[in-house]
Amino acid sequence: MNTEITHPAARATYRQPATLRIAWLIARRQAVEAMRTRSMVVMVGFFLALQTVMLWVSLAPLMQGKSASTLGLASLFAEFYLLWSALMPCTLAVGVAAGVFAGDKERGALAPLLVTPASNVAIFAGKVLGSVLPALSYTLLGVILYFLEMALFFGLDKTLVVLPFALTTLILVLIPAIALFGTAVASVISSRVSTFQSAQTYTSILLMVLWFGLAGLIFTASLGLWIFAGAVLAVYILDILLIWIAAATWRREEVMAKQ
Amino acid sequence: MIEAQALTRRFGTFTAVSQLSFRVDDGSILAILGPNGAGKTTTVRMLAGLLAPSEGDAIVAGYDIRREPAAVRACVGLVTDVPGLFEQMTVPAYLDFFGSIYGLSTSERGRRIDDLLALFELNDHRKEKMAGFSKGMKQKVALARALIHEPAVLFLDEPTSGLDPLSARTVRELIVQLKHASRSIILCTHDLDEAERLADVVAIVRHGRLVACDAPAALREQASGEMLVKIEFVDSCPLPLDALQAIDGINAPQFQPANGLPPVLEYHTARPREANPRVLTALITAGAQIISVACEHSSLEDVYASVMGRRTGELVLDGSANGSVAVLAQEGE
Repeated sequence: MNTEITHPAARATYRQPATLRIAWLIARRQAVEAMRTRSMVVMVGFFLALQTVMLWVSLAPLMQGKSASTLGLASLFAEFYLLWSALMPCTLAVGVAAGVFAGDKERGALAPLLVTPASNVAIFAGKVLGSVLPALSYTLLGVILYFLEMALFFGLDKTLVVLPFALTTLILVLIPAIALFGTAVASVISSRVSTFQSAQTYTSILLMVLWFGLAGLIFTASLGLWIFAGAVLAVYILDILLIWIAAATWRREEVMAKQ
Repeated sequence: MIEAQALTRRFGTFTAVSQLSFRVDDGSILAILGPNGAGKTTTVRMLAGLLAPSEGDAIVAGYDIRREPAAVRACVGLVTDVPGLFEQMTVPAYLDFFGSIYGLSTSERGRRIDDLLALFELNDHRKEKMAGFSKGMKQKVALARALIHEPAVLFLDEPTSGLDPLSARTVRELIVQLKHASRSIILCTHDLDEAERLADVVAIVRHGRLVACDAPAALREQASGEMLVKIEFVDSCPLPLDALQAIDGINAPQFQPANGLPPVLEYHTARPREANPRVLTALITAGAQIISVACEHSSLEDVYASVMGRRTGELVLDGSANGSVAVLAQEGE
């Protein structure tokens, strides 16, 4: 003990900290920690390396073809790999999101946060944003790497041929919506269950639903781009509704009562 | 200051805390003792603004826990048996994070972090991630976190649980310092010795109800009513047990062996002011050479066992012995 403790300077008037500022503080801390998690970095690295190999091995022979059917097949593969490169890192982030509340609760790291004057909305929004940010960051990394590799392996001209502008743009718009949906639902599950194991179990089921849903969305693309665009918009609306309802109904008291 | 009035919390049909009333003034420590599930943690959570009471009310640091829970949380610090750190962070970054959430300015945070690192002797570990810290170091960081905003009220829920003796001692020394710095402290513990050493007042809860609340010495005195007296001699006691038993006011005199030294005379008495002079006069008259006379009330452990062994409503102790904490309602009322 080196120094004396001063008399407590209890504040005469209490000021509620700004919700947005607190939410950002919580989100930033959590996102940085999640992105630095060694297992996460290793797995993302693995998926990105796998993506490179798959592009080279399976797409290269098709890209050298001249016929319309071969290029059509190449286009299908190219679109699939675009989704793969964006969503596989995002899937990992969804797993991490499962631990944002339940995992912290089990480690005892949630109570110190709940005992601060931060509002329920600030804590919930911060936690959800903190799990969405790594997902979006890794997704962005995957997509950038994908386009770089496509341009490097096959040239920009051929890349633009197999990736039609309108469809590719819609897929790129869809990806953040899916990432947001997956991580937001995983965060909500995590906030409502008692144990990390329960959160992981439910999130695994969610991931299956997510992939089936994605397949359905891609199917709408075959019905027409406008239908696909509508489906993408619907996912965004669903995201906003989900997060809004979850944030409005989350109470720290319920978390403490479950412990 | 903390003042609880008939605080009650129910979870469905289960009543975790029932009609708890007490007051803790600035600069005093209330230790809450009780078995697992007695309602200690639920009480702390209500007082910290984390759980709303089902009934009753409490004022913590001048704020009502029902109407102003956020203001209550701004004025309290909480430490549990689990440090609950973000272990990938360094200590300064971690404290800075919580300082920001409590709304401290950059300069305030810097000053507080420097003070706390010095206080807890963590300056040499400024750049290390907390994942590699020992349990004792982590608990120090948890205490530092609870103090970053200079709270007027501290809730310590088994703060020394799992610590090695030296770390536990450091934490206890700090708790005493905090008390001297005029903070109101509630300490939940299973360690009766710790409660006896630190607390101004001990509250024993069972099944969510307050069954005893008073200064440790007063509890021991009231629960036992008898004092244990031990007398050490240079040589053997010159009086036989028969002669001792004949002295008015003493019970169950006996000689206890003492590792190669002459046996120690022990007896119980409910009236030490009258009985002890009689015994000492008789011994000295018989030529006894006395080294020491020690008087002890029963231990807090005895009190605790006695209280826990009784049924609800049987024991009601008067809480007027210590001015800093008063019992406002008792079990069965």
